[in-house]
Amino acid sequence: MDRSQSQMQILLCDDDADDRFFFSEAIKELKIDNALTVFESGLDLMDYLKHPENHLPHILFLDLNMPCKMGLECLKEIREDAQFRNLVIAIYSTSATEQDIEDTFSNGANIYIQKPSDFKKLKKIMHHILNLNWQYHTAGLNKETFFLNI
Amino acid sequence: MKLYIKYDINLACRVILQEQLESLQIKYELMEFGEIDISDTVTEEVFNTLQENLKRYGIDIINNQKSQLVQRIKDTIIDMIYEKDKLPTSTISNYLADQLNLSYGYIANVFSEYTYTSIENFIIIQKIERAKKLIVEDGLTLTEVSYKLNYSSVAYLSAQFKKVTGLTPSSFKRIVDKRRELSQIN
Amino acid sequence: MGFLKKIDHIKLLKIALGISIFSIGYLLTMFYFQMNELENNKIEIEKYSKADIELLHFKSIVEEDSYRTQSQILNQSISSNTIDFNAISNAAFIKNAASFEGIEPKYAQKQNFIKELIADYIAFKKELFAGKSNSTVSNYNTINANLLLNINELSADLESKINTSNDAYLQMLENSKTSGFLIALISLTIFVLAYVKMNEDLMKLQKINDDVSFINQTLQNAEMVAGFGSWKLNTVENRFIISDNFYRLLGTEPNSFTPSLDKIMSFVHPEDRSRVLQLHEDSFNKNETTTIIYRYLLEDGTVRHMISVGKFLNNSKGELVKIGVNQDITELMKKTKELEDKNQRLISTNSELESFNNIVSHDLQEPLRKIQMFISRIESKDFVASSNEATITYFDKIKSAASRMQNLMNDLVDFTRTVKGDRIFEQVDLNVLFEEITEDLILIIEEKQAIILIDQLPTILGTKFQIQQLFVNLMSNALKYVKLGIVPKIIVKLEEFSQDFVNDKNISSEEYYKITVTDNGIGFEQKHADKIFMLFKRLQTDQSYKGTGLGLAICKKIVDNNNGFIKAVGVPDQGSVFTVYLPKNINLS
Repeated sequence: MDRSQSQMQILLCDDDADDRFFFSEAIKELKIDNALTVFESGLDLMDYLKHPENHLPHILFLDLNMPCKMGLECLKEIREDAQFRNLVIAIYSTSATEQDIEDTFSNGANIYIQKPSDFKKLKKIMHHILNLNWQYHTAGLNKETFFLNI
Repeated sequence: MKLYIKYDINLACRVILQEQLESLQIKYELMEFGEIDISDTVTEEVFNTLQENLKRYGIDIINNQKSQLVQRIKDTIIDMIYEKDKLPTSTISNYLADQLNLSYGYIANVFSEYTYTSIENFIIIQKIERAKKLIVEDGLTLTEVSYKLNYSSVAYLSAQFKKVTGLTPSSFKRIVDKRRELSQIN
Repeated sequence: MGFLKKIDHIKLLKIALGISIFSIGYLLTMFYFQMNELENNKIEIEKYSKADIELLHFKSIVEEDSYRTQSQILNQSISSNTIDFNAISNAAFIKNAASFEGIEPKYAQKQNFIKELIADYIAFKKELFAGKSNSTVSNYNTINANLLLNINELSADLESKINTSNDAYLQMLENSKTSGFLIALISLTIFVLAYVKMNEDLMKLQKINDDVSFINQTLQNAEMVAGFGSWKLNTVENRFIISDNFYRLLGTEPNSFTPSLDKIMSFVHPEDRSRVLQLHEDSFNKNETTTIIYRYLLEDGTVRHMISVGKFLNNSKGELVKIGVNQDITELMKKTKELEDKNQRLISTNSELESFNNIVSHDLQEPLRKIQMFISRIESKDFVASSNEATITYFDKIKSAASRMQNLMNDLVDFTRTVKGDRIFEQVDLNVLFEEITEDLILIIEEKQAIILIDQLPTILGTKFQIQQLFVNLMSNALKYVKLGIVPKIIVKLEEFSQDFVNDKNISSEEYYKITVTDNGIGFEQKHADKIFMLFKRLQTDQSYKGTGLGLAICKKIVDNNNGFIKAVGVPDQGSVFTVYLPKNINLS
């Protein structure tokens, strides 16, 4: 069982530098073997995903409120592509309005995270999500009905 | 056109395994899910090809005593949840220890070491997963689901559902319906 | 009861007339026959009179002869020469049989008998005078008396016949007089009855006329009150008739022109004309009721909205007639438009509310959350051990988040001010305004060594603080979004143009000033040009360009409030041009 096999591939797309910093710090401090790739805009993310040489990640964290290409647009575009059917998408947003949550879930998001205002809480959330996601990957659970709202 | 399929992952895997093993002319016997008994000795070259081919389907060969054990633990739990008459009368720890013939402490350690989660948590996730299936595919009511999955009350099921998914069962169902509606429009 | 009476009255009149006409016919026939009879009677009387006269003449000849003969006998001087036989035998009574023709046979028999007696008389007299023995004077007297008796008898008969006929004639004359009188009387009755009837009909007609003119007057009043006009088109004679108020709807005096399709079409708004004409022509294909809504463009330039409903009918001659009613719905359209505008404003207010929701749920929370995050990082146990340097960085981050929040709140206040919109329009000299703006921005202009070129600008009508805000935002954007190391250059110009097309609207130089703000900054991709005016649509991912995402949304809002337009053209890394169109006359809707 080689290393890359058990390593969790994580993507993050967020235009806010501070939030990217918190996110990577939190992940680093978790005791989970992972590889994090970061994008600053939806356009960059879509370019990366569409490149055939890049491996599919285990999970994608997507900010909703970004300039140029909004998170919801990325979400819809990803879900339209059959090869990304099984990609777990976590929305990572400051706001948590009913509308946003319902919209993103109905459009194919699996997880909705409201960005916490406490670093410890962020770590806890990330731990929970990555664990749960790992179960979905390793125990062959049905991702179509994988929803998590934190 | 959109089709909704209900598939038997177990059967699908068995078919893939049969095809792949036969294409490499390996003599085999499929045991319980997750175990293959190979009667011949296989060269490392052939083994690697098999491993490579299976990987394309997301099937890994677990060549490790401990990970094999983890797989057996999972199988036992899934069996227990999906077959109602197998639900243990004793505690789960005793049930697992009995089934696998190992001490529960050892089992729990190995499990969390390989899955980043506890057996208890794994059971909860599996039960909620089953509940989702029953709600979405079989259209059962919460009362029926809670009875089927041996929950003491609907409230307890709802609470656990909310804890695992962050959603109430009804909003979960609404989202699934809306998703299907949206994908039908597209 | 009165109704019945009326019916009886008319009926009786008719019956009387009928009877009168029948009677007069009958009387006239009778009268004709009476006259005929009278004529016949007269002829008969004449005949008998003639016969009587002949007879009397003959009698006088015979009497004279007998007198002479008797005196000769008495004188004893009888000579055959004294008797004129010829006078007797040549008398009309003997010779001319015609006078007794057509007379009753009994009189003719008598005549013949008298003729035989005459022959005997003459023969006897001849014998007497010849002296024949058997002829005696007494015999002669007997024969003579017998002859005279017969003549007298016949004469009396004829006279009595004439008398009887005369009586009958007189009676008949009397009868025909009565008939004539009756005819005259009945004719008079007919005249009187006809006069009465005619008079009655005339009265009725008069009343109907009164009613019709009353209804017409009412209709005209109704048309004026309700603002509609009616028209009629005889399709056979191709004749148009329009009501007085129709003329007024067209802004003309009643009967000021002869209506025709062409003439009426000339009042229809040029943009609607071909459509209306087409619909009018199409309506003849099916002869169905048509409803058209269109506009009139009156001579004085006012626009009136009309709804016209046309319908097909056949008149009493069987000709196809199209009749219609046009109603002035200008007020209705105006109210509907107002309602639509209000609705539109409500929708935009709603969407603004939604934007505020977005601001509160996301943009205001974001810096706040970051402050909390950095604080939680600094607080955490494992962090205290790490370097002082990191702590300083974190505090800097907190400060910048706090100032970002402050900026956002300031912008929000500006934005709500524009939303609330105290729309007091005043004369704003843009040259003075730009002096103030340059003063406001002087620190950043100095810092960046920016070059600012401002053209001679017009004075416009607008809300001053809003116009100022608009250009401050545009200018500070131009100063802010510039690549490091490049000297910002901003040109503000009043552009000449004739006609531009912005947001699907034609903008003409007659109504608008066109002011451009050109910079040499980082620009943007043209495909995002529409997005940049939306709330919180930031194009820049680069954190070095700090913006709240409100600035251009405020600009858009201000331009909307001042009834203008704004558009942006950008080239990445080369610069952008923001064009603002502001109305010259504020009364533009």
